[in-house]
Amino acid sequence: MAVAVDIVGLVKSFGQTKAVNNLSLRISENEVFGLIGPNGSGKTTTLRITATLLKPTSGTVKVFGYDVSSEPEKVRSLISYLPEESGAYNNLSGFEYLKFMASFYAKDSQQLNTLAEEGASISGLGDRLKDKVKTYSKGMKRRLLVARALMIRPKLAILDEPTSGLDVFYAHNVRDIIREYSRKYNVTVLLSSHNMLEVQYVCSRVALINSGAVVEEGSPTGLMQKYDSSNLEEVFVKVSKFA
Amino acid sequence: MPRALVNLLTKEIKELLRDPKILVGTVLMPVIMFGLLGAVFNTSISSTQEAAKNISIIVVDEDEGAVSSYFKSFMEGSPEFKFKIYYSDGLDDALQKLPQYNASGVVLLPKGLSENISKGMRGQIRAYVAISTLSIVEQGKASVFQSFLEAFNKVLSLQIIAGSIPSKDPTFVSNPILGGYYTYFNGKVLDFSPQMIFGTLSTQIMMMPIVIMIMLFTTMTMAATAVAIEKETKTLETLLTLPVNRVTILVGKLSGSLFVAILGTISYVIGFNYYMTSLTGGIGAGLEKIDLSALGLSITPIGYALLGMVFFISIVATLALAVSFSVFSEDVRSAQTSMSYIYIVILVPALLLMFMDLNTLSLPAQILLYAIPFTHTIVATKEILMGNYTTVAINLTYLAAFTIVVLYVAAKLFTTEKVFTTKLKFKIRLFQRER
Repeated sequence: MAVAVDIVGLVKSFGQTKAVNNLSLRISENEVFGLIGPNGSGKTTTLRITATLLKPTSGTVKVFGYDVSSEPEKVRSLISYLPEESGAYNNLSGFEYLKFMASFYAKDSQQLNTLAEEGASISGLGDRLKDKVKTYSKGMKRRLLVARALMIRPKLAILDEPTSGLDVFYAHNVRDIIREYSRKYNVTVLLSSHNMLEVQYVCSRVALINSGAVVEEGSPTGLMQKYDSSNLEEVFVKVSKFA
Repeated sequence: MPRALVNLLTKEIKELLRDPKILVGTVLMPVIMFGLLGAVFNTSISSTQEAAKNISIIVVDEDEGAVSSYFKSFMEGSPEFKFKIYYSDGLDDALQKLPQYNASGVVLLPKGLSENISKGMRGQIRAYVAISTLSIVEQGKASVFQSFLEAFNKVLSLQIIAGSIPSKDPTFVSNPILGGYYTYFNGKVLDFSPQMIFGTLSTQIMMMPIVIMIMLFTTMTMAATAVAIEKETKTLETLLTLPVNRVTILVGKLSGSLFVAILGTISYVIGFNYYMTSLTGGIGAGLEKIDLSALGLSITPIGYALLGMVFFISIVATLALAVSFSVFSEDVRSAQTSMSYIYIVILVPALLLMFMDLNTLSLPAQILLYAIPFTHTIVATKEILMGNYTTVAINLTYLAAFTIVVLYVAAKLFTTEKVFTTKLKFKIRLFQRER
């Protein structure tokens, strides 16, 4: 299977602080890969580098063979990035926002409408899509943003805490959509989450990160067996203690 | 225009114009504010003129001689001043009756007035003007007394001259010399006094730096807000991962801000022009009738082209400067705070050049001011009016060089991760204590 993301010896420093310290990862095409780690472990920095927003201090990150430092525009044409803290344009309606975002990917107006309608369907916001984004609750905004990230069916979806701020019902719904999109449209997903149950449910493979480096990696089932745990949360605690 | 740029520009314009603060504060407010000011001024002028036509006056004639009799008939028969006249026996009585007659004042013709005049001595007529409020209408009423006494003085003077020197024309005797004022400008003698030309041009001379200043402020705030709002609402990260060249994103932002800033400037010019017309129409009617093109003081087609270039380059420089600063701001508020530092750089040359000539300043002050790019914007607009295109070319070259440098810096900043990782702090430590 082709390699979707190849991270080798990634280091990212901000002044004296090393946010990512010699991190290496390989994600295959069509995988749903989860990054788990405590706050400040380097998850978001890794995702931001993969999304071409930050440049590595050293090491390489390749997305479908394209280097994020030297070929960022090629990488951007393949990815869709959903930041953890993200917003939409307050003075546009939800549907206008989806159309605006889709316009950068659609080849013609017919495809533009198809993508936007798909986004509308994923968001589940119905008639509220006609209202301005500024009238939305935090959860509604998140639904719009998840829809935006998935509607274009990217080769790689980078999702930072995709269900953050969502209620139980819609969080469950989003997890199903992520799995469905990955399977149905060959979308590779790289996501990070604090919610271990979510990762366990959605991801085919996970990497546990601590202090900017991968401390364990494998399938959720394999890791639970290895550490004799009933869920990923226990695995995480045991690995963290060991580390 | 590339499709991505069109999409970005459309989004920018929608976002900006749908923001009530920007739509009302930037686009509608100037035309509303100046429109209201102009309307208020017009109303007060017309009500003053109306009030001045219907003045009631109480006359106290203690003189009862030829001059006072002539004064009263002049007052009653004057086509220019239409008074409602009441008579009283004494000053105290007249002053007490002011409210009763709703009169604006008392004119006292003192005893001995006619006798003094007949003996060749100056007489005195006293006007007691009643003031009940400090409004423009009251000021207008007060000035009517002075104008009427001056008119009567002139008529009386001509009568005395006619009686004393019957062989001469009284008008000639009262004003034997007629002053003729001309202006020598750009190697030509103009048939107008310098005051008339300055009076006509003062609107443009004052208005140009103000319009430029407002336009640059508006543009700058717009651009800084457009970038900072992306940061504040957490949309910038998503925007910068779209498959669009980042310079295109930058150009989209600049163009959106430019569009709205131009709307704001047009609104300002319309509003300010209406206001100024209200002022000159009320006070200095007639001054505007000088044909500036005949004097070589109007803007030629080349001048307009140069003016357009000066405005455009200045706006682009301002936009690039605002973007360069705002990429380091965390939110809209800190972006606008950072802009206040640039406002000073625009404000200083604009205010200085509104009231003085750069050449009158000391050499170090001149060097300092010429180093500020926006000085060239204002100098160039004045030089275009005077037709000094060589100076304008130098101004444009300096402005263009500055703009290219700032634009390059803005583009560089926008394509690096500094847009996320660097934050400038704009703090004034003057009143802060170290703990």
